[in-house]
Amino acid sequence: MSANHDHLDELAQQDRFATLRGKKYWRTLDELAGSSEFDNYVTREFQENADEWQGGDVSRRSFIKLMGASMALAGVYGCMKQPAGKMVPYVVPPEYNTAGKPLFYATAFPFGGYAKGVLAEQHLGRPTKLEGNPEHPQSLGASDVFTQAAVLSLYDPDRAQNTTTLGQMASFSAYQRAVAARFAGKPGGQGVAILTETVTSPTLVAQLGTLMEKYPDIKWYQWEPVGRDNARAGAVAAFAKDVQTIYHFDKAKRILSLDSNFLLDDPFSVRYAREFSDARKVRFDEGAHINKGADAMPRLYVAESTPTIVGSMADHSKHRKRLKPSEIAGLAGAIARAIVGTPDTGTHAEFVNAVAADLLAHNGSSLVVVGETQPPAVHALAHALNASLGAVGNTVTYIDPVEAQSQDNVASLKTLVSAIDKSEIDTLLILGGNPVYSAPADFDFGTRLVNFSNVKNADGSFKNFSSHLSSHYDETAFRCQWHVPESHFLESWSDIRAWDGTATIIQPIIAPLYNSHTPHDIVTTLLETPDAPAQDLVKNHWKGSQQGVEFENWWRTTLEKGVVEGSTFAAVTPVLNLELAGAIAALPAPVSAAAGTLEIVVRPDPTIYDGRFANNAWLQECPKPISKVTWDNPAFISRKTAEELGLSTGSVLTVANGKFATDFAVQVIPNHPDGSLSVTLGYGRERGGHIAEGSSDGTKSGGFNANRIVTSDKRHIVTGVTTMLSRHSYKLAITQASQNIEGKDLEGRDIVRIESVDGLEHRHKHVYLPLYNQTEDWQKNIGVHKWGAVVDNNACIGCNACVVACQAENNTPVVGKHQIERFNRQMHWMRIDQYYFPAEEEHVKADPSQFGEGPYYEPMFCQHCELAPCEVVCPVVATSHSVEGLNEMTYNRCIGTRYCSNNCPYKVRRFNFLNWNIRTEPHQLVYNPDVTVRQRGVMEKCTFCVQRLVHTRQDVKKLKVQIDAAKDDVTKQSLGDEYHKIMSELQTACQQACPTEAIHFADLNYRDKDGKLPEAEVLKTGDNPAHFAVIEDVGTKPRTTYLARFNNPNREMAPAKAHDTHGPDKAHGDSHETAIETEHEAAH
Amino acid sequence: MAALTPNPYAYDAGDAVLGGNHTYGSLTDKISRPVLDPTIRPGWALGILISGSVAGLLFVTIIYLVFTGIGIWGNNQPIGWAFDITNFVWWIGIGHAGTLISAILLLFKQEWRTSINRFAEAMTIFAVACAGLFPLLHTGRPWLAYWMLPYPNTMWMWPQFRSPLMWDVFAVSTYASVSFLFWYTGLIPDLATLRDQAKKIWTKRIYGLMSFGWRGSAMHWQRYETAYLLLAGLSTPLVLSVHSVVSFDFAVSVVPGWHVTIFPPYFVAGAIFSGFAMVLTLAIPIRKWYGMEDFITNRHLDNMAKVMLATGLIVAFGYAMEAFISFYSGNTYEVYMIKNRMTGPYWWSYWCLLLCNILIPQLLWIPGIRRSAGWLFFLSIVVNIGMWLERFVIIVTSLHRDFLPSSWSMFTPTFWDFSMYFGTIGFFFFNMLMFIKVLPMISAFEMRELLSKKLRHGHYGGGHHGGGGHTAPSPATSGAPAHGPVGTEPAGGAL
Repeated sequence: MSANHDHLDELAQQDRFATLRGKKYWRTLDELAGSSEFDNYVTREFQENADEWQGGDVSRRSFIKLMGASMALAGVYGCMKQPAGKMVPYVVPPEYNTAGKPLFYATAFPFGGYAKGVLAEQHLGRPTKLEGNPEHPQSLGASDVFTQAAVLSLYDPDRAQNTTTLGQMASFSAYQRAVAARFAGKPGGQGVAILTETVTSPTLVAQLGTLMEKYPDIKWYQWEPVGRDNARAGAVAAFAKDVQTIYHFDKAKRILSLDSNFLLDDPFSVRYAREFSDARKVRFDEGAHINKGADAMPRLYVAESTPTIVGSMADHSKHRKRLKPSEIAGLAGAIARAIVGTPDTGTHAEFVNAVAADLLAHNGSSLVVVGETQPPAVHALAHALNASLGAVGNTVTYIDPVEAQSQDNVASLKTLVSAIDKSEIDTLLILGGNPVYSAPADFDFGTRLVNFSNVKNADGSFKNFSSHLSSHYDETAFRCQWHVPESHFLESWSDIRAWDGTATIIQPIIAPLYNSHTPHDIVTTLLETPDAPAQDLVKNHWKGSQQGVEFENWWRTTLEKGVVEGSTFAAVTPVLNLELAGAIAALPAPVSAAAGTLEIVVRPDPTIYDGRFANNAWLQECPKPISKVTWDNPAFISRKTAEELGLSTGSVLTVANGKFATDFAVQVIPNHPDGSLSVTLGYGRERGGHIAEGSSDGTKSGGFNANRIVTSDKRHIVTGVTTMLSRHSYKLAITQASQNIEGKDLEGRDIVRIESVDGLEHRHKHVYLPLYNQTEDWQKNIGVHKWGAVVDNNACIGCNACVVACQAENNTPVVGKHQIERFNRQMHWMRIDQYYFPAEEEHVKADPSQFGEGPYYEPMFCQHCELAPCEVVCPVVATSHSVEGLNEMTYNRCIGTRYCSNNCPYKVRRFNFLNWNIRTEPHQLVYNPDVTVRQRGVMEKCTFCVQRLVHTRQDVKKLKVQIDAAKDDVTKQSLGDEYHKIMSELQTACQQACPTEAIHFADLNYRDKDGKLPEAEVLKTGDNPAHFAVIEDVGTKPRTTYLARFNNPNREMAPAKAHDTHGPDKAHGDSHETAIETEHEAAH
Repeated sequence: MAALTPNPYAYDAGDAVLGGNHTYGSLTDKISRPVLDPTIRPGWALGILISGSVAGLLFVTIIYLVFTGIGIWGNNQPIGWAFDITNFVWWIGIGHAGTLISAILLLFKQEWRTSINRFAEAMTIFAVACAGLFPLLHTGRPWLAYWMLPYPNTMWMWPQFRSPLMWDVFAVSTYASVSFLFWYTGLIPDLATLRDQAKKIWTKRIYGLMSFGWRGSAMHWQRYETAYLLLAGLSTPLVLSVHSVVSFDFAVSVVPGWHVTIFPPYFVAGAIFSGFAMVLTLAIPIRKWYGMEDFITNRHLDNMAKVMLATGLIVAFGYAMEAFISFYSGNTYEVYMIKNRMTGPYWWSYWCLLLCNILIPQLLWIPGIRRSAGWLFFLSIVVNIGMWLERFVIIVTSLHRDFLPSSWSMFTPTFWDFSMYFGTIGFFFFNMLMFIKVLPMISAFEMRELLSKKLRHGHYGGGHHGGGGHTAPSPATSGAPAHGPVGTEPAGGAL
């Protein structure tokens, strides 16, 4: 634009300056210079270029055009404040990455030292969800509640973020220097102690081995709060060597569980649950003939000290013994004696003799399972029993222990404690775990550690050295001089073995969020080797063990698969050096409880385990099976004992084991044995994050610390406990009260159906005759897909994996204890309803604590009714029906009248009463980008994971176009295969997580390669007498239907009675039933 | 002759529709005095202060509610509606008496309505205003509540006309607008009177503006009468429709305890029942404080009490049928629902409701109680409470235990539930007090009309307008002073 200007000639200007004289003021140099430009400037009204077009021939038309475009583009920018930040294009995009599509990486979730095989879902670099790895023997593609919630721990804002010393920020290199200084002058590593949890990582074991070689005087101690000490001791007693037991529930026909919770908290329980429920699945052929009779279906007998999900799977209330923890040994002995040939005559004679006979009758396919709560002698007895029942090699196999340095953890910790007391050690490195919280009370580990850390030399320097590696700055970290943040497994390179020895390489899915480290880093420091990336460590370790293969190839395949080929431990055949009689004799004598004392059984918590997940809100809010309590660990008590002690749910009881005492709120739960309490670990935390610590007003978690009454000699069963009723009461957030089907509350509502497997030959499907002439429109199939689900109540074990999986998948918020306790507001889209069936009236009358059979579980989520009551009442059409049969929720449209929820017979809708979604770093990184994060005032509910359906629908649509366009058969074939692969891989989050494959979701229109119907469609159609819809009589025509629960009672103990089969006929009377059958026959 | 023997049903002097010995002037003066008298009565000021503070609490609650969410109330998972819709239905019901008095009684030429219709209509409008707050603010996102209106929009979305909540929107908004028009139309001649009587220039101007240039010409009167009658005709079906539609919110659903076919008539009767109770609650103190005993006579109280008794009996029949049908149906959920109402955790609300709405109102059979202001005031409060409980029972006890027992829960109100409820009561009374101060609470011109009839016919004591119906002896229409002297008490005040 300056092209038109007449520029001044500098020389001319100088000439003018030379001629100027006197006080002549000037405004600018241009004026001074008398330039034409300045004159021009002064005379012009507007600045140059401001009022005329400089580009030559601009027409009015083109001017208007440009202005119009500017206006339109202004609108593009409009309204929203754009986030400030630099936009950098992918010059080299990450490999395999398509924006909008997740990537899956195989890795393993370490749990109590053992691997749970997972596939981590990663969206643009951040892990958002974990699924089971189908290749992994522990997982078989399913997962559990802990695995599902593990990803939230990664984004826990309370995680330790920096290496600290005495609470002050430090650096890891400073820590390394401090350790090096410590080792100076200790050629053998004298006085150095390492305390680990259970270690199964081959690389770490190798590293520690090298360390021990270099410093032979280093002591390695172990402490795992929930370990296998009793099982180990039992194996040693039976075989004179330590072996690990692996059960094979798929081969078992008769199972006796002695206080074992093998379906929930065993390192292998996901696999066990699959095997167990697969064997129990009942199917019908076209003539409604059952696929297995009473003999072929496994039958479960349970003796337990706490009502567990295993107990609820027992086939009859008489097959389930509620016993004080110390009484189970006696019962086991009686059964063993009966098996040997001495029928029992004691209190439990009926149970004992029948079980013994049944186990014997199924020689080779019987199985005795023992829980870790039971003393070693019971484990030894079980080994002897299994041997005499021909179970070994069939339903039970043994392997060498998977953990490194298998040793008694209590003994190990005791040695450490005495070494501290005797000042034999001056350097304590705690690698993982939280022993201050979890150690038995009599060790007083916290005080010892504080004293150890505080001892000073004459010059004021610390005499001892203590450091702690853990994810949170917890009770132990607080008492150590140094704390190093531990990396989450999704940030780490490592490896780990599963319960059966199968190794998995742990690969990171995300770079460490904070300055965190792994045990490998610490040991590397100790070894004074240069800081090697953990990846190289792991890789080099496996390189050494994989000779003769093309390693890089092997490494990549192994990483992809998530399982190291051939690493599973081979079965061993230990020689039993204990006769059954000897095992019986070795059982502990029955404890005669002193008057006024109780027994307490201590178990890992069903959601927060030993406390390591205490800061995980998903797990805290997950209703625990049976008790349905959230955010707390009340002591469970039977109704009878509660009445005797004058307690009710919420009363606070002070319990004391000798001098060790603590408070517990109690919760009265059905089917609990009398005279004992059951408590779980993990609560009552002093440090470890905002959620774990709770708040003093009880509106958040808090709970009670069971470790305060556990002593090293009474670790699982605490006998002789004295109690004192406190005047306080405590509020518990319980999501579902115990309901009794056919009790006075329910009056025969058709909610769950329980059938006996032997009473089914001639039953027909119940058909409801609607009162009104209903339109058949719902059966019209206008969409390409037709989504539907069938839930197998018979398979459901109530483990909650689906509940947390749904929460992780669908960005469901957590509401906190106060909201549940005070308002009964929850946001879970999926819940496990549980119902009891009264055992026998006289039985219940005689024993009020015996609530009856069950609970029976029923996963409940949006039923996607064809005639949905919610849809018609929404004034703004925020919930509507799709052509594919989904009951859809349009969050943006919802104004929150809550009428839909009121009108939902299943009460599966969830309303955002307050703004519960956290949108802060780092928590918000966990959100699934495919799912809307709902704001307050909006109704939400299960969508059948519509985001997954949409992905599949798009892929399938694309493929179908390609298939139609394909020229040759080979291409058609391969595209067809791709189509079937995509369709068969489609699963909802709950379905994918379910260890027992209880949820059958499918496109009911889909036919596989061989033209076969999907499982859900097969179960729905035809004359399947097990198939029913929940409260079908309401007429909602739900797209989600259910299969009855089947029991296989031992008719010797529980003769068939009229009401053994609890169907809707109870509610509607026999005449109705007849009418239905007649109608049904007529229809054929 | 009936007149010779004392008749227990006979009216005494105080039972005339228009008492006192009024002239047109004294009548007009008396009615317009509270409005034009510049002095602020201390009682009125105290009332404004208290009700205004409570209304302020409503204001605070609304702000907190909109900023925080419905979670400040006790509503929860199975119990999506609680105090909010209970209060909505309660307030809408209260409004009904106004419409009934102004429209239906007008069409039936019940002239005793004249002295109470004005403030009953005002009560209707304020009650509907209070009612309207609840459905608006009980939504999760009240700023989007306008989506319930069928307006052309870029989303190309219509509301869903199958939803009873949509019907509510139309029913309530129609009701509110027609009620307002009716009330205002009736006010116009009186506003002109106030304009003419006012001394201060601004008062004159404001009333002048509001009276739309009313000059009282024959043409005006003719058009007025036509318009008023038309509006009465328009309002009449509304009395029946509004609460029928409100009852559809429940009757159309599948919830046991809501899905009841008897709801529409039973809700309408209940609405009139509670509306008359509220009219009494207001009329009794007002007539005392402003000395309006001449205009709102015991005859009025008696008639209103009779309406209450009749509608109360309809409501009682409704309760009986509700319970009977539930048991008789044999439906699992229905049987459980009614058992749960009677013996479940909210049993007290059900039995209190029966006590308040059925048992105690039976006192109205006694004529002495019907004509006793004190008794009626007590009964009106009892019925107001009872009718609130009725809605609470229907809404909360039905929702808290419906189909799947796994979801059963309890509702416990929070502070904000109460502050919202009492806040609307404060708002209501604040409005009523303001109304008394700025507008004539009794229709002066209609009273003059009444007076003219009285003067023409002598003592005007019931006659063919008698609310006593067939039980009352028919007084001679000849105008014989059958019931004692007229105007035994002096016209209230010096005027």
